[in-house]
Amino acid sequence: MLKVVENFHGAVSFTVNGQHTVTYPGATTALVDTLRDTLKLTGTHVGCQTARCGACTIELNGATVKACTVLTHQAEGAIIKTIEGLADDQKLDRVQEAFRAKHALQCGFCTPGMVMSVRELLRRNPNPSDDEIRAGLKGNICRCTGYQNIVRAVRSLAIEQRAIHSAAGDVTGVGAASPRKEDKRFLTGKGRYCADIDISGQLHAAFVRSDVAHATIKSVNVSAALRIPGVVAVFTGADLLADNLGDLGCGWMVRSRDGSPMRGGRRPILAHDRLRYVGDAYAIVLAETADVAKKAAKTVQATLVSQPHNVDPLRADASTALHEDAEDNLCFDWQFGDETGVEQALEKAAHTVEVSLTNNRLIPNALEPRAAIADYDMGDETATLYTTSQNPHMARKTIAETVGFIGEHNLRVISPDIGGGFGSKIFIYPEECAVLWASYKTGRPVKWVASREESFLCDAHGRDHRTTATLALDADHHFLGMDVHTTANLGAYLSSFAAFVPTYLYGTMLAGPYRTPAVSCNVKGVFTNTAPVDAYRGAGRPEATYLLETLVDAAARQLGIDPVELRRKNLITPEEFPYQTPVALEYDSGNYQAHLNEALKAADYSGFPGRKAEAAQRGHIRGIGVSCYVEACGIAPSAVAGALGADVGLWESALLRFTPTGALQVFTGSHSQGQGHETTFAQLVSEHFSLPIDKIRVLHGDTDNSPVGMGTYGSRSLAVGGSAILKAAEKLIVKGKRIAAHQLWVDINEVEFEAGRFFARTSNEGLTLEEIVHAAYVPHDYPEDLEPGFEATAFYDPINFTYPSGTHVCEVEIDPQTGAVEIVNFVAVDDFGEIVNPLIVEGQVHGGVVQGIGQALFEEAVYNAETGQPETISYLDYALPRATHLKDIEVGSTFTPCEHNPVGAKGCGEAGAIAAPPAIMNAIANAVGKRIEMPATPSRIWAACESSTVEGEPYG
Amino acid sequence: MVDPAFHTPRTLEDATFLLADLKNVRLVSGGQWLVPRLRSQDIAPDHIVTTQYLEDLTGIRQEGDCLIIGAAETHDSISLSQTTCETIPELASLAARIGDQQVRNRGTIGGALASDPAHTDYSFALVGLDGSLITNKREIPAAAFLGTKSTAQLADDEILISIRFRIPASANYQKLAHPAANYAEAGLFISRFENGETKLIIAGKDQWPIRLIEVEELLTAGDTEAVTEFFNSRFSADPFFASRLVALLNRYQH
Repeated sequence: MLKVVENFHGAVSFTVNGQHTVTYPGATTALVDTLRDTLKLTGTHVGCQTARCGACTIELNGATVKACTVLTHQAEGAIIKTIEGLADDQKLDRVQEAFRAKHALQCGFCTPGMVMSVRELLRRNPNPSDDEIRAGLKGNICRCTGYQNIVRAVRSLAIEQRAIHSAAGDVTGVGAASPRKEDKRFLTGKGRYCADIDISGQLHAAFVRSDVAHATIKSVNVSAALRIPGVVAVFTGADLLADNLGDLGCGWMVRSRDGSPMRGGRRPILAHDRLRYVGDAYAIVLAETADVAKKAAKTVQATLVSQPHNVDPLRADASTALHEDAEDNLCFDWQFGDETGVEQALEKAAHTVEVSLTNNRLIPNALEPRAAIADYDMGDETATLYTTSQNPHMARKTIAETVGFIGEHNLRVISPDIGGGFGSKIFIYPEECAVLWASYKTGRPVKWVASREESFLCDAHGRDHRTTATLALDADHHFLGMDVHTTANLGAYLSSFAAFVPTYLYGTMLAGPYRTPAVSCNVKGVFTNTAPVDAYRGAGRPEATYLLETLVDAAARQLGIDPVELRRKNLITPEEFPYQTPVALEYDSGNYQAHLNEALKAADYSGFPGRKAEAAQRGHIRGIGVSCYVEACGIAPSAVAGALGADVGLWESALLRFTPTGALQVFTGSHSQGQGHETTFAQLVSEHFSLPIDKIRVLHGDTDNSPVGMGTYGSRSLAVGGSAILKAAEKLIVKGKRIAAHQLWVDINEVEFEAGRFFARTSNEGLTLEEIVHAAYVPHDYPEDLEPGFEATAFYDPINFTYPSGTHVCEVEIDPQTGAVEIVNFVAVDDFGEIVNPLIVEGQVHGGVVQGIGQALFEEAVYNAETGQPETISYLDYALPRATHLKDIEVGSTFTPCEHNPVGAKGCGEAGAIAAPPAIMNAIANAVGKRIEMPATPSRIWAACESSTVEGEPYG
Repeated sequence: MVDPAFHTPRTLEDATFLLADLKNVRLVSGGQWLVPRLRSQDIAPDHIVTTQYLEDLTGIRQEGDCLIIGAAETHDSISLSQTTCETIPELASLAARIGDQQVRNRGTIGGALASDPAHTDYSFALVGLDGSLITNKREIPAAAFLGTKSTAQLADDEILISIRFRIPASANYQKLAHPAANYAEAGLFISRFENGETKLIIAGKDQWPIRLIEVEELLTAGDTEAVTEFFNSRFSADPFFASRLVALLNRYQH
């Protein structure tokens, strides 16, 4: 007998953005799901399932809440405001305006929640201090901006108390700090991410995943799942095998020192005989709702035979073999560089310095979880796949080959707005293949969105190196040679670029910005029962830079000299460019002394002893650390990549298409996950054609409408993709000159193009770009042998990598009693070559540095050695930097142009993540007198303080 | 498979009745702990009963030498309440340091203590301020509620109505927070009462608050050196933890 039963499947009514709304949610439905799924208010995002990320922040009765912690039934009678309710009559509100003006957003995924939190923080405190601003942002994770520009936006509202007017519609060319074109949609909740897309009639997929580290599969029983109402089908690895689905391999072939090809690691779409890590998927459940699919997945039972497991790369051997064709768990034993030269260097060295270190395993954590929606059309035998990919064309090629039932030309891959990638969305994962195949099998669209726990378990992880290295120096402290031995954890399977990252992206960077005559590098890539490891922001270059800069500081400590002086002595000088390194690369340009000097000045390096003494009076320890880096970006000259084992080319494409009225569509084969291509590329062509930026639209991510492209990674978009755009623009200008010559009755060599006008040099008679474009589409008075239309496609294959470089300086203060460390000052001075939009570039540096701070101080993916279970599977156990952990950093730049691409740009996306960790760790080592491992947690710092004598260190 | 039902009792009596009568039922207040677990299906109740219409669970008031806080009061309302600020300002400050603004706007003191007492900062205050939990069945002194995982549980049909704290002359709470989860990796709560009594409560990661009666007199006497010595010997197996407690003690002294 129930006395009070209400709302059993009853209605819930509330007001959303001023509109009265009635819904009929289930008792356990969260408000965020009602807003997104029922009311289609998809501006409120889901980044985690643990109420930690803040992407779903909304206003409930005037106060911000995380909508994933409110049951819809609890919102009866409430007044709700979501991001969609802010902009009034198409105009952004003042918080949104300030975000746009200060470039306080990149991928836009956290932005709606962040904006809601800022509104509350300003309501409570209209004039907040920086610390109060950061405290108000504590509940919202941003992976892109490093929070600095968000703080800046809030600060501008606090101090100025007025709306910011941004200039739009003007010609905004190269070098202008133009606010971004894409921001309005992100700020108003109109960004369109994969999870926001629904296709009528869709099924929802849930994967059944291994909860053990290593086992063989005897049988999989799906009958209980099939009995659940709403479940349409369950497929296991055996079903896919029976359908002849291929498996996923690595797109890069690396050979061992004996010449044999790398072994093992191929990955079935769903495991059928063996489970190799916790999270390994072995069945897919398809149901009418995501909840039912999830519930049914829990009922699938596998009969397993447990196998011995290993998660430690240094213990990878035959006792825990994962793959039949790599019985000792060794994928490759790669040797690179000059072994003999290094032996000789070590023999004649006056000093040798050795370090052994771990580059900690990281989880990239793009705030938008991966997702895929496939829609197979039986009639046309075509399919559309929406997926969270940094390179949709590569996804199309690989997925079509893998699933087998569809031709590449019949598969349309669309990567809509992507909520951060940092490398983790380059790769082809099993899930999107399985979802496409499931749509083919069921004849219905199939949608899958990863949970945050799945992201922790199954997104490709990054780093995870164990290295021992020796640096040889002569009596004058010049570097003679470096001997490097690394074991790289590849995880349970080879991900798409897994073999490339710890070899050619690592070994080739070991010379860094220094003259080191001989370098030898041996890397053993090993399999363990952990998630696959692949490129994460920087990919190989952070590992090389961390090793090198740690060695340099260790040498300075051992020799008792200032680490800056040791660097100065060995840095390549400006006169030496182009500089051929001993590890295959030729640096085209650079001035390493310039950014070193600039950074030291900005950090007041010489004033450090005074600050250290002052801190000591308070019982605290200060340390200062420097890191110099050079990286290879603009990936890559295809022939070089091919010679090194790539099975793809690494050029980029562009299609410039003028409309008959003179507006311009730019299609690029690269893709943006927050880097602002829609603005940067528009600025590039705006400058070139003197066309107002609002007449330019940049499109990407749809394989049906852009030329085949190679996507975004390795800081390549502007250097390679931008160069393709300029090349296509050149073609159009040549065509325009021909049209102009015809109409002006002059020789083509007479025609000039300048400031948007084609004119005859002698007469100065001319035609505007608009008139030329019109003539091309209405070719009444037109050269006979010229095609009508005004569009051009270009492919650009770089002739060399680009080489951004820089110096970062970090100053820390440590409380020896608690082990707490505070970054009291951080200076980044980088040389990125030509800068198109300084606002965007600075934002990339902030974000990269903060991800570097994350690696140095907070982040580590941990597997339990005994059980093989991952211990970091939520935002409660894996610490990401939050606004409250940080202070503003200082960003500066120096300039040498890239000598070989038409933009002159070198790339800026990864620099922060490469340079920051060694600067921070060198500062900590300087403070406590010895090197400690990343992440530098309070317990590690405390232990180092306890066991070291800081007195007598070579800093003063 | 039956869809769960959502119940909206208007009185404590109705709610008590529902909880006693229904099987596999969950009470929801601020939802910070429960709702994510419902979404992930880690918890799958057949019935959900909301506390949001129960007036008995609201209000912050002084009764004699005690402060009574309704179980459904949010961390934010506790931190801003004039009554809290006038009687136990450190409790307002403690509430303001929980989670983040969005969690504080929604999460409740009752929900925190009922769902995850090992991790909530309120547990320090509960022990340090002779607190007790008043339910629809009984009044549970902090000491009986906190201590081991088995005791820190309310019965299935038990509703936490309010939390009672004894008003001290002064109190101080210091914590070193976990960088991700924000709970106290090391925490120190010190209260002093009009009668001269001093209480010293410490806790660390995944540990319940412990009252260190042994050194309370030393603390009253201002002998921090002796307290420091005590920390170091009591936690000699974990000198890092001891060092952090000493640091928190020093902060308190300042």
